[in-house]
Order: sequence, then C-alpha cells, then structure tokens
Amino acid sequence: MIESVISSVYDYFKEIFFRFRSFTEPSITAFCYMFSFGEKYKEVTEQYPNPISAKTADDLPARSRGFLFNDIDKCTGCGACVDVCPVKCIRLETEPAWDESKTWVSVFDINQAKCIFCGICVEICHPNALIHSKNYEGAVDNMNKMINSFGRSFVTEGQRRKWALARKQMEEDWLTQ
Amino acid sequence: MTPWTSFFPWVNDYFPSWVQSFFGVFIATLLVIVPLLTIFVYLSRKISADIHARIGPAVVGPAGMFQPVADLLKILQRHTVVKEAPLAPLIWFYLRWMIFFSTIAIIPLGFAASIFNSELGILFFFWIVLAAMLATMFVGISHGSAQGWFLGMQIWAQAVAGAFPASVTIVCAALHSGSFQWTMVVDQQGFSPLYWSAFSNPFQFISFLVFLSSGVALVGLSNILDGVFVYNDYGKGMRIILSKLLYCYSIFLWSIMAVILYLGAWNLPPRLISAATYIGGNPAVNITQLGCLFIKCFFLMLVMVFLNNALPRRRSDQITYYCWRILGPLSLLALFGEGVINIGGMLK
Repeated sequence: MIESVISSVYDYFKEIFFRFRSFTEPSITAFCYMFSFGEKYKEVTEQYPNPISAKTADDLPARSRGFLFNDIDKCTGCGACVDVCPVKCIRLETEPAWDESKTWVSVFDINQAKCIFCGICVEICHPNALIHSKNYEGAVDNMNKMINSFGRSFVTEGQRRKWALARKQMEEDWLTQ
Repeated sequence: MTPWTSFFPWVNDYFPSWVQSFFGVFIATLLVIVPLLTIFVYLSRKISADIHARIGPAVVGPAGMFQPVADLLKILQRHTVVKEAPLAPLIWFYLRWMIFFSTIAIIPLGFAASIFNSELGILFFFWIVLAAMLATMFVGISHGSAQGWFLGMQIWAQAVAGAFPASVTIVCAALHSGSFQWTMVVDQQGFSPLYWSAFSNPFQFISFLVFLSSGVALVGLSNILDGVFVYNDYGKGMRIILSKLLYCYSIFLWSIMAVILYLGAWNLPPRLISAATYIGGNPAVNITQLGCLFIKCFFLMLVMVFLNNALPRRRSDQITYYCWRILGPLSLLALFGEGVINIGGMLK
C-alpha cells in the first residue's frame, strides 16, 4: 500500500519534471535562435524584395518560368494558346490585316494574376512568339495592373480606308505592268 | 480619475466625472494602449522571426519598425472574400471585444489612479477574462456548424482548465497580501525585487510561475477560433484588426495582472518619489509609476510571446491535461504552503 502510494507520488513528480523539460528545452533552442548563437542558428530566409541569391534575371535558372511575353511581330493570332490555356487567362481578338489573308492581332491580353505558369501555351505556340520571361515581380496595388497587353489595338476606319486605297493602288499598278 | 485631472484643474469645473471617465478611457486607449500594442506587435514579430531563423519585418521604416502601421493600412483594405458573416457569431464577436476592452476602465495605472477610480477586487479582472472566454465559445457555437461547436467547446474546456489554477494562484496572492484589493496587494510589496510577492517565499514563486503558465494557456485561445472563422468567413479588414488587437490586449491584461500581483506593481524607491514630487508634484509621481508599471508589464509580455513562440502548435488536449494535472495541484500546493506560512505568522 505504502509502496504504491510512494511510486504514484514518484511518478507524479517525474511527470512534473518531464513537463518542465518540455518547457525548458524548446525555450533553450528558441533562445539560441533568437540571439543567433553560432552559424547553425543564423537566419536562413532571404528578404523578398531584395533577393540575395538572385540579384538579376540572369541568375535565375535557365528554364525558370516568369511572366508570359508575346512577341507581337511573330504572333499570327492563330488562337492556339487561348484554346489550350487551362485557366483562360489569355484574351485574343483579331481582325483582317492589311493583307486580308493574314490576321491583325488587335487584342492580346494576358492576365498574369490568373496565369498558373503551366507553360502549355508556350509549348503549343507555333511561331515561338509566346515565351516565359524572367520577370516575376508581381507586387502591384491594383489587380488590373497584372494584365499585360501585347495587342496592336483595333484598326480604325481611317486606317482601313488607307489600306483599301493602298491595295487598290497596288492592284492598278500590277495591272498596268 | 482625480490624480490625472490635476494636470488640468479646470476640467473639474466644467465636466462631470462620467464625462471625464469616458474621455479618460478614450485618451488612455489612444495614447497609451494602442502605441504600446503597436510596438509590442513589432517586437513580437521580430522575436518570432528570430526563433524561426527568419529575418522578420525589415522593409517599412528603419529595421521594419513601421511594418505594423503598413500592415494596418493594408488589412483595412481587405474585403470579404467568401461570404458575409451570419449575425449571431458577429454579435458574440463584438460582445467579446467589448467585454475585454471594458477592462481599460478599471486597470489601475498607478497608486489609486485607475481611470475609473474604484476599489474593485483583483478577482473582478479575472471574471471579466472568463466572461470574454465564454463569449469566445459562443462565437464558435453560434456559427451553426459542427466545426464551430467543437471549437467552441474545446476553447471553453481549455479556458476552464487554465482558469482553475489561475484563480487559485490569485487567492494565494491575496492570502499573502491579506486583501483582494489592488492597493492593498501593491502596498504589501516594494520597489526592490526582494520585496516582490513572487520572491517573498517559495510558494509565492510557484504561484507566480503557475499564474504565468496558465496565462500562456489562456491567451492564445481567441487566436484559435479567429484563425478559423474570422480570417476565412468574416474576413473584413476591421474585424481582423480587432481580432489581432484583442490577442495582444489579452496578453497585456494578463501581464499587468501578473505584475501587480507578483512583481512589485508600480512601487518606486522613496528617493525617486520625492524627486518626482519635487519636479512635478503628484502628476509626475503618477507618470513615473505608470512608466515603472508598463516597463515591467512590457518585459513580461515579451516573455509570454517568447514562450508562445518557443512552444508552437500547442494541442488543446495537451494544454488541458497540463493545466489540470500539473498546474492545478501546483497551485493548490502553493495555496496550502502560503496558508501554513500565514498560520505560522499568526501564531508568532
């Protein structure tokens, strides 16, 4: 009887000791980290706006996927990228170009906030107009600023009339020759 | 309120005492509590970052000192993401906030110089904290989901488990000072740590440790619930700020209780009192006392933040077990020991 009482009291105080240790041991570790005692406890994170390991875009890995960039001179406006985009972050509007067999890319907006950087559009782009740039800084105060526009804007009526005149002139020149 | 209005004697001629109290609470919140909590938020983030081997706030202002202000402005712009909250939990949310912040009126800020100058017992403070915990439970229960019910009950179980040893230690401290009144508790102590209750005998020291530990168990409670409901469902900026402020204020409240009960409160050395009286009379003494109280309180708050971060991911069942199994008996031991010492003193 007495032995069992003594052993339970002993167990209780042992438990108190272990609970006390569960307080002190993490506290000692935290204390070492707090005052950075030795190399082991130094800060390991990098402050975001001032990257330490990647000072320039060239320091980034070769195949890193930054924001999408569309070279509008190469772009044919085929719309393959729009079809494959899983999040529908590309908006494309086309109209007939000066040469009516070709398309004029009026609107090519990429919502970088929606983009999931899957890279499928880059893979599918036949003329290699669409690429991942090395730019990844997306901190803006307005979400509309995350929409990048690459389009040539809509053709005005005046421009279209000029094109029609120029085409007519070319046809006449060709006939006279 | 009287010692503070001695700065502006004309106030007594024009305004009744309730108006003075009202503006006293407002000014104390704006000039003392909010700046103190802002500095506290910055330091606690730095401490937690250091413990996690991170840099912490380092961008806005020198060494990131203005980060809390920048965050405040940022969070205020946040809109509800998921849905507008139902009415019942919101009522409890604001009620809890009001219960907690009503204590500003009765915090003693120096000798006989609380904003609302009354001799309220130290247990009154404690009951207010418990009432706020009850309101926290109802925030969860009124959410109308199983998760809300479980979280609410869990919080209440943890609150009761932490409140039991805390209440016993308060009785222990009152036994030592012979009264439940703030001023009597403070009068029994002195400026030197040798005259602090916490170091007067081993049982008081145990009592102090138990009180602090139960505080660590209790003050994180509002965060558990807010992490689930306020951030996800009711995520309007103002509510998030209120919730964060409440968390900091609950640490402040517990620290100020610990300082007054165990760490000498606002007691100053006689020479400093006479020097302050010589310089600016009663108001200067009050301000020095307030400074002394807040320095101690601030240090204790940082200790609590350190413990909170050194022991992350505290499980509710472990905390409850720890409170009932370890802190409860220890607090009773401290009470018993203090009683024996008191009886011994009476027999002498």
